[in-house]
Amino acid sequence: MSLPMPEIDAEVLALARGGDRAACEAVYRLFAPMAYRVARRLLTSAAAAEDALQEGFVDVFGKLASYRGEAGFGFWVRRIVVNRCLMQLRSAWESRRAPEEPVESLLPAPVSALSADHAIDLERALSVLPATARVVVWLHDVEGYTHREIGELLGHTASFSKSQLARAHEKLRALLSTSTDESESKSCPGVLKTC
Amino acid sequence: MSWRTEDLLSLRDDEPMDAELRTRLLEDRAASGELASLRSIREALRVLPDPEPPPHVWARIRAELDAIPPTRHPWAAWRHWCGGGAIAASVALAALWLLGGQPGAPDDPGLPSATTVSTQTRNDRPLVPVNYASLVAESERLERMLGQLPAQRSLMNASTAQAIAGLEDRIAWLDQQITLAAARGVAPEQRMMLWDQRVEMMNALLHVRYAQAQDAGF
Repeated sequence: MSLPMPEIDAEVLALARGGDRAACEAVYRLFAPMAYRVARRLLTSAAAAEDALQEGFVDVFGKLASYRGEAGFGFWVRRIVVNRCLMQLRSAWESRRAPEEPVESLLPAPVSALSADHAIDLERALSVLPATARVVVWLHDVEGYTHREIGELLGHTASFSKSQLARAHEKLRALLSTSTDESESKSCPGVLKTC
Repeated sequence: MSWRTEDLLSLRDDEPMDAELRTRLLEDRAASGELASLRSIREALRVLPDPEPPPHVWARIRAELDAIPPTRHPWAAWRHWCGGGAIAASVALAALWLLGGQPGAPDDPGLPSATTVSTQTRNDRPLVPVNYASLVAESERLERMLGQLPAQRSLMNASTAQAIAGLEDRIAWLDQQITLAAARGVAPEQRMMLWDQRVEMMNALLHVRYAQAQDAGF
């Protein structure tokens, strides 16, 4: 099960295909939150995620004529943005980027079901995962990609994706447990629910 | 009992796995605890707050799109003229261009009846009244069918290539007219005619592409 995907009005999409800028902006506004969420989680750097968002949507509008409706439009947009993110991760330049911004900068006013502290712990843990493990756990557990799809994206097999997912969870658990040990005065963190 | 995280994840995600292993994992208290932890982490990831996209990104996207030069094609000049002139004139011109010389074309080059658009039996389209929504839906359906055909061969004869390029250009021109018509508040009846023309062109393109795919042995 993945997060819900917005749906685009057919006429707005048709107008966007024809290059209508207002329609293109409507498409962007509808799908940018989803696209930026994906980019920000896969890339961790705000600047890199912004680049992926911008270039991803330039790709989307450039390829609109080729969209044949074989998959939901939102899923098609997401695939383009994910590919942009993977291109960045593979680039040598990505490895020379400035250190990641503080994780707290990711958080708006806490409105999620997690408390702000727990969200920060999980954000931090996610951001320090190796890139491949982070990509796999986010695409699989949150975005709903199958292991086969992830394997194809990464140029590997479904088995590779499964092993990376296992590695990601083992690492997350270790990081979250460390975070718990460091704050012994707090009650058992709800994210693990082990006590 | 020892287990692999991969096996617990397969159990968590209802993936196919050895039935005996599944039973042993479910019956093992420690494994069940780990399974609950894996579920908790997944749920916690899903409810992490979404970061807001930076507000200036759309302006940059638009600037990049606006910087893309228009297609250098003989159609470009005509499109530019039609886009700059009266929409009503370009719609009438499109009707003339498409209906002229074809069987049953009216002597009066004015717009066809606005209330219903009867389609001819060519290209397998039935003689039924259509409405705006059905034309848009039909256009989308034809796009999907086109997408299911194999990719175009890089080598094809000149006349086929020219026919495909011509149809694709006409469809692109119609898309531009549809956009302009909507933006300028052209009556729905006239916009419906543009969509009808688009469906005709899409049908024609589908036929040519299908024939091409047949020739290639698909």
